[in-house]
Order: sequence, then structure tokens, then C-alpha cells
Amino acid sequence: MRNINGRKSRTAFALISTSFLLLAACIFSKCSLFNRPDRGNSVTIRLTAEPEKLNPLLSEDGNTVQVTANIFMALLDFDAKTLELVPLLAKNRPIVSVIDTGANKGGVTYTYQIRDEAAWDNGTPVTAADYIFTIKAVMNKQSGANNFRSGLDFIRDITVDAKNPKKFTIIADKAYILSETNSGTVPILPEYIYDAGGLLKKYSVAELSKSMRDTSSVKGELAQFATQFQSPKFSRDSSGVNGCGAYTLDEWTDGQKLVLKKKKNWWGDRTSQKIPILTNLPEKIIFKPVKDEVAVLSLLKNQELDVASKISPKAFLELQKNDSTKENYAFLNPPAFSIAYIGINTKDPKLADKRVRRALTYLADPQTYITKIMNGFAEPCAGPFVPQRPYYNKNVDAVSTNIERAKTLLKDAGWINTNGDSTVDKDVAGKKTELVLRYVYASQNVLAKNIGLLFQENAKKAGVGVILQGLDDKVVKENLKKRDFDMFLSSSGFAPGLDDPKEIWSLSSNTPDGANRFQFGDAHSEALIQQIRSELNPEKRNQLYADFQKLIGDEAPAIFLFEPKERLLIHKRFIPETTAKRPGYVLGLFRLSTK
Amino acid sequence: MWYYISKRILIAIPTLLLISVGIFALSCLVPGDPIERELNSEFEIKPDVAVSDALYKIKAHELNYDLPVFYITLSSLAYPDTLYKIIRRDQRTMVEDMIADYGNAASVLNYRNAILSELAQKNSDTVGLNTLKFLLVESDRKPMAYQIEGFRKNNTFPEVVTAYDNLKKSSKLYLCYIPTFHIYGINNQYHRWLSKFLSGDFGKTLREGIPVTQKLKQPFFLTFTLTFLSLLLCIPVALFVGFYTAAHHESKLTQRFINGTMALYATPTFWIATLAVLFLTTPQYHLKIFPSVGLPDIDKDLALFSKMLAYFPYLLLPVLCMSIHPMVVLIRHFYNALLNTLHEDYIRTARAKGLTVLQALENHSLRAALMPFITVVGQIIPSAITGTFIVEYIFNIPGMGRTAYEALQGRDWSVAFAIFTWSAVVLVVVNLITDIIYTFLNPKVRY
Repeated sequence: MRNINGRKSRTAFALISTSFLLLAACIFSKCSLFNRPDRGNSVTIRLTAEPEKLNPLLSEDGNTVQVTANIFMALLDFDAKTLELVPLLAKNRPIVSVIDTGANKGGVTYTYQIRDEAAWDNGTPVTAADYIFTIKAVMNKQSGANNFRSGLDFIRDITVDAKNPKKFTIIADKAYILSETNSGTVPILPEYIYDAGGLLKKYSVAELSKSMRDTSSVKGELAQFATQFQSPKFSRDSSGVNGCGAYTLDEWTDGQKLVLKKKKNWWGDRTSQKIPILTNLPEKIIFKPVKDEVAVLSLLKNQELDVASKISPKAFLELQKNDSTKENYAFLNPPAFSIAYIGINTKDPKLADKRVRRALTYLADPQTYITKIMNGFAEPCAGPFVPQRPYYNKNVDAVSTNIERAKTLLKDAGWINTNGDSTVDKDVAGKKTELVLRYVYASQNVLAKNIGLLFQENAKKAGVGVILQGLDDKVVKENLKKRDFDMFLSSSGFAPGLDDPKEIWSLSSNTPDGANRFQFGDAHSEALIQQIRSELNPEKRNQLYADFQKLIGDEAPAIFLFEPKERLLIHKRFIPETTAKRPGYVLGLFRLSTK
Repeated sequence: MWYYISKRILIAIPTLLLISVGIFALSCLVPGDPIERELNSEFEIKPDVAVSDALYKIKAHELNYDLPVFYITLSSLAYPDTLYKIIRRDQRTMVEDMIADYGNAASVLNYRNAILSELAQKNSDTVGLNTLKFLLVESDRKPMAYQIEGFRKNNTFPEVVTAYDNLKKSSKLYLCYIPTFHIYGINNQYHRWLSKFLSGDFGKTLREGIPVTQKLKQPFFLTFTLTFLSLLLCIPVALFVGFYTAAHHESKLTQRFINGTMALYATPTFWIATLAVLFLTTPQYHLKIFPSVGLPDIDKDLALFSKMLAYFPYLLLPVLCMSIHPMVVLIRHFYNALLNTLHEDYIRTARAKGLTVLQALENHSLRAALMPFITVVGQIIPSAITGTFIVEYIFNIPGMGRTAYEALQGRDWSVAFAIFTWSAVVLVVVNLITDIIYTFLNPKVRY
């Protein structure tokens, strides 16, 4: 160094740096590590977050279900095309009978028979005993299966056919539209793995069904089972995470990947020629949790993912323009089976009059939201049910902007600008009140903020003040719990099958923990909801659903904006099969493309 | 020297305890109910409210949430020392808020008991009972008064109305201004957590239910590797560039370079990392020098060295991105430290004896300039660790940073505590090591 003068050293430094970079570039770009290896018939799927627990009864978040759906099976599933219930592990859909006599008079029975070929990994057949064990695990109050428990509380007992251990009958206390769905879609667990010590054997379904309703804490074997059932062994270990599905958990590297391998001699392969729902073509499924969208874009451009969903509209458009991704991926937009809406607090004195709420619906502009915010990846929706439902009432018009109509409705409701400021006002409970509304949203939700801003602009034209209040999502939840808001933006996801309006729209759900955050409901709506819930005749029920949608349209407890479309990329090395069911594709039918 | 090290370690103990108290306090103050999250029951229909309350109590007991938070609480005379016995967090918050409004705890609890008693009797329709459930969590005066007036008008829930009227009449707000403290002893949440923590039991993760140590094993290895590689890159480069620029400090190019480093320093790491991912890991701009984000698919049974070798190319770009800030800081500090010595008398003497700037720097300034350099290295290690947070997120590397981020998002405090305490320990240890290195570099330093 001592002998180099300034110019020479600069040149040497520049030369060394450039050569180092070039060398690195050459080595790295040619390095076999980065060349995309031939992945054959294995599918690599992006998850938006790592699954919590691979115990299908304990965790129901979307990412977990994407994985567990390949390991565990239920009696029934929804057909990818028709979205109708079809038999999966069961031979047929259940035989439904109404009980006319005896202690359970007025109740309904559901008789299932499990497929003859269905077997666990140790070769023993899947029997009614396994189903009963699963139901008992759900009914054990401390097992952690809280989400399933409320859906199965109609079960009073289960009886097994004396001659056929694969045939059993569920006794329900009353007719309920979701009994078949809820009893048929609960993932069945092998009793010999999850309760090897037979802790639940001592208890009957009838006993547990009763204890589910009392407030005492569980003790003895039930408590012991609950602790064991929630242990990591049954959530993470390949020895404990085991079902009768086509795949088995092969590897789980924290934060990096989760690998499922197809079982050799899986029982379903013997019948799959006849039954497409039992077809599972990929040999290996690799799930990669990638949260950051920049990382997802990088992986897609490098073709390191075969399937990526939940891409933001903007990034999806960018990828559609990119030559590499355009050439290698199919861009698909199945419906997302969810609805975005602005909820209204109907018990707020300012919003108690339905004319005011209806005026607000005329201030929303879903068409602009769809084009400007969702970049066209959404469809208008005019009610609390997704348009794919057979009972969706097409006669109810979707929301469209009409400022003049909104002004008239507000005037009819007594809201007039009497003091010359920018907002209308009225005497509410003896006090002059300006029509200024608080729109609450989670500050990290850009969609909610943008919709709020556009809504605020239109509202101003009609003399309605809107204050946008962006808060931490936990604070938003607390505000919603206390009904401390005027309006809020949210979205609801839907499962295939029937909707039970009780969950969101019943007065009984209008509690701090309940989902009726609109505080909607009266005697008429309650009666309608009860009728829908117990009506087993599809035609009559569809009419009731249509009436309910009309009622919601008239009462306007929410402004229904749109149903988003999924933004899904599937590598062209597969022939993709999409569906309206979440996550938007049928993995089992991914066939390697011959091109 | 040994005396000094022992003293520092002893001082570190209360420091770490204070940090743990701070983190614990924070966990109690953040919104959201950890038990509801654990029960996985938000916005679900419950078969029965009483049943879900019973489940809530069982879970709260399991997680020690039915105990007082700390050994003592500092509050006002208005607050009784038994409030922690109201287990549901939303209901306890309502009672606390109302005591802050009225100052009379007995009346507030009387009002709450009246509501609970009416709820237990179930002598009303769904709407009435649901209104009572809202009142159990409602502390805002306006909506509360609105509902009570409704009861009065319809002549329903007279006990609740009476209790409310009594509450309004018996306000003792002055009690809120008289400070007091309550002692709870060692049977509290913090003590139980600390005892377990000190015995090496960091608890279980809320999400997966696995031991925290198991959860943090892999992230620790990755973050340690990232930070180590980053320092391995930063220190020699900073020493070389700092020395080189100081030796040519009169050159215009050097001046421009030094000024240019400010621009690099001002550029946020997340932006550099995002651009690096977009430009250098994808073939889109024909600059795909590095592999894409994440870690390679390698055999899980691979030996440690082979594993590191396979990881190396994938960690290189993240390391470069997270090294930019500390490197710039180190270069500038070393450059300035060397320049400062050039004005010292001993350098002037050396120059007068015929030494070139380079020779003077090498033989006389280097050792003196290393002292502030070591201080800065000690200071940037914690920021290098925090620098991994954002880089790990963008590069999809499941290190401590990403784990901490996810733990905080999911309010998984067992994981967050372990990570923060670990960071605090690193900080204390690094500072101690820096002090020890001083003594080797400068014999004048004595502890």
C-alpha cells in the first residue's frame, strides 16, 4: 500500500471490486443451486402465514385448513363445481328421517355408512367408532375444539348398527339446516392414534352432549385427554398428525416449508377411477409460508412457486404484464366467496331511522371501488349472501350512487341543514345533533381506508360528515365489541353450503362476543331466521332466504359493496382446476401438462 | 479487572430485571384479550354464555391470568385490591374505567352485581338480556345512561336502575387523587413467569403450544449467522475503506465518497432490501446475481458445515443489505477518528521527521483511532440485530426478527419475552466485551 499513489490505487480498487462482483455474478448465476430443479409431480404452494397446529379440530384458519384438508378426511365434502355436498368418506349422503315417537320426538336422524375401502395407515378400517371418538373429542369442553362444538351442539346421541360397524345414526334434537353439513364435514381422527389409552371410551356421546351445556369444569380422564389432545405431538409430529387422507406429513421446517408426501397404496387410489373427489394426483405438496409480497413476487418471477393466491390486485396486474410470469403462469380469478361491506350501528340514535341508513347506501359507490381500488377484481353484491348461492335474490338491486335520492331520504327523516354549516342536523332526544358519523377501520387495512375516503367525499355532497378513525386492529375489535362506532368496514367469508343467518343477523348474536355488530333485528326478522334454520325443504327455504335478503335490503343495516375475486397464479406445468371453494383450486386434480 | 467484570455482571442483573418488568408491563397494557385468542372464540356463537364464561375461567387459571399482575400496585384509594378477581378482561376494564369516573368502588361493584344478578335470573327477553351483557363491558357514560333510561321507561331491571342511580349519587371522586399501594406478595403473574424463566422454562408458545426454546432454536441460529456475517463483512471493509479514505483525505474523490456515504446512511434498509430483491434476485432486469428469497431446500439431516455452505449464497444478499448502515457508520467513525489524530502533536512530529501521511497513520494513528472504533462496533451490534428484523421479513428468513414480529402480532408473549430478554442479554454482554477490549488496546485504561 505504501508504494501506490492515489490514481493507481483508485484504479486498482475499482478493478478489484468490479472483478469481484463479476466473478460473484458468474459463480452465482451459473451455480446449480439456483437453477430451477425439475420438481416433477410435486406442487409448491405459497401460504400467507405458517399454520398454527395441524390438528384439524383445534385450528380452522385458512392456511392450516389448506394443509390439513390433504391429511384428514370427512364423511362429506362440497363438490368443486356444483358446491353441493357429496360423499367423501361416506358411501352416500345420509338418510334423513324425522323422529315421530319416543323421547326424541320432533328430532331428526342422519344415518351414514363409511366406505368399505376406507382404512387408516395401519390397515384397520375407518369405522363408526372413529367418528364417535371425534365427536366426543369435540364435545369435551376443554379439548380446545371450540369452533366445532357450537356447530355440533344439536347431536344428542349416536348409535352404531349392530351388524355393520361402519354404519351409524346421529340423533339430533331438532330439524336444523346445517345438521348434515356440520356432522358430515367434521374431519375424522383415528381413535387408535389420538386416544391410544382409551380415555374417552368411558363416556358416551349422550353424556358428553349433556355436560357440554353445564358450567362445571371437566375432570379425570376428560381433563387428561384434553391436555394430551392439545399437545404438540398431535399438532406437529408426523407420528401424531395422521388421518385417512391421501397425504402424510413428511417434514415441517419452522418458517420455511411444510412437506406432505403421497401415501403408498393409499386406499382411495383403488376407487379413484370411479370417484373424482378421491383423486389426488400430486406426489408431493410443499407449502411455503411467505408473508411479504415482494418476496412472493421474487419467487414467482423465479418460478419457485406453483401456486400463489391472495396476491394484491396491483401486484397481480404487474405480474400479468411481466413477460416471464405471463409465459409461465395461468392467471385465474375464481370468486373469493366473501363479501365486503360497510356495517352500520342501527341502534345509534342518529342511525336508528332506516331512511338515514338507506340514504347512506346511496352515498356508497361500489362500482368505483371495484374499478379504482380493486382494479376490477370484484363483482357487485346486493345482499348478505354471495351471488353464487341458488337462493341469492337477483331482484334486490346492488347499491349505486344517487346523491339526490340520499338528500331526499335524509330530508324525509328530518335531517336538514338549519345552521348553515356543511352538515345536516336534527333534534335527537331534545338536543341538536349534526349528522357526523364515525367510520372505524384497522389502520393497516388500506382497502378500508381508501373506501372510507371515497365514501367521505360523496357523503360530504349530501351534507353528511364522516370522520375516518384508523385504529390498531385490536382496538377496532374492542370498539366493535362495545358497539362503539357508527360505521365500520369489514368482510365476511362464506363456506360452501347453506348460510345460517342466526350467526350474524340474529338478536341472540347481538352480545359483546356475538357477530351481530349491526345490532340488527326485530320480531319479524327473528321469526324469519328461525323459519330458515328449521326448513328442510329446499324450495321453501330458498324463498325464505330471498325474503330475508329483501328485508336486509329494506332495513339497510349494512352497505353491501362487492364480492372480491381471488387473485391466483398457477404454474402452466399443471393443468389447473379452479373452484369457488376456498382456496380457489382443486389440488388433487392438478395434472402435469404435456406441453 | 476481575473485580470490574464481576461488578458489571452484578449491575447487569437489576438492569435485566428492570427490562423484564418493562416488557411485562407492556404486555399488560396492549389491547386485546390473550385468553380469547387462546380460546379461539372471537365472534363465534357460543352454545351458552355461562359455558363460555366457565371455559374462560379455566383457561385464565391455566395461564395465571387469575392472579394479580405484580408484587405491588401503585394506584389511588378508589381502587380496591381485589379487582384482579374479575377475570374477564373487558369486564375488569369496565369496572376500572367506572371507578375512575365515580371514585366509589363499592357502588360500581354493586351496579355490576345487579347486572350479573339480573342476567342469572334470565327474567327477560333476548334483547333485554343482551343489553345487560353490553352494560357489563360498557363504561362510557352516554351509552350507559341511554340504556338505563330505556330500562326506566319500560320498567325493566329495576335493581340495575336503582344501583345506577345510587352510583351517580354516591360519587367519591376525591378518592381518585389519594395515592396508595397494594401488596400482593409473591403469588402474582410476574413472579410465576420470572421463576419459570430463571429455571430455564420459558413457557410454551401460544400459537403452536411447543416449548419456546424449541421454537427459537432455528431462528437463533439464523439471526446469529446473519449478524455474525454482517459484522465479519462490516469491520474489515470499514477498517480498510476508513483507512484508505483517511490516507487520501485531500482527494476530491474521497470527499465526494465520504459525502456520498451520508446518502446511503439516509436510505432506509427496507427500501434497499426491497430494491435488492426486485433487481438482483429475479431475471426481470437481467441482473439475477443472487438466488431468490428464502432459504434453500436442503436435506434436514445435513451436517452443520454443509448446511452453512448451502445457506451461504442465500444469506449473502440479506447480509449485504443489513450491513450497509453499520458499515457506513463504521467507515465514517474510523475516517473521522484517523483524521482527528492527524492534528495531534505526535503526528506533526512524525511528519516533521519525514514520514508520509500514510506512514504516520499506519504507525501512529491507527491504534489511537481504534478506541472510538471499538466503541462504535459495540454500539452497532444491537442495531445490527434489529436490522435483521426487517431484512428477515423481506427475504423470508425465519430468524429471530421475523419470529419476534409474528409473536408481537399474535400477542404471543412467551416468545416475545424470550426474544427481548435475549436481546437485552446480548446488549449487556457486548458492552462488557467492548470494555474488556479497551484494556488491551489502551494500557492506560484501568478498571
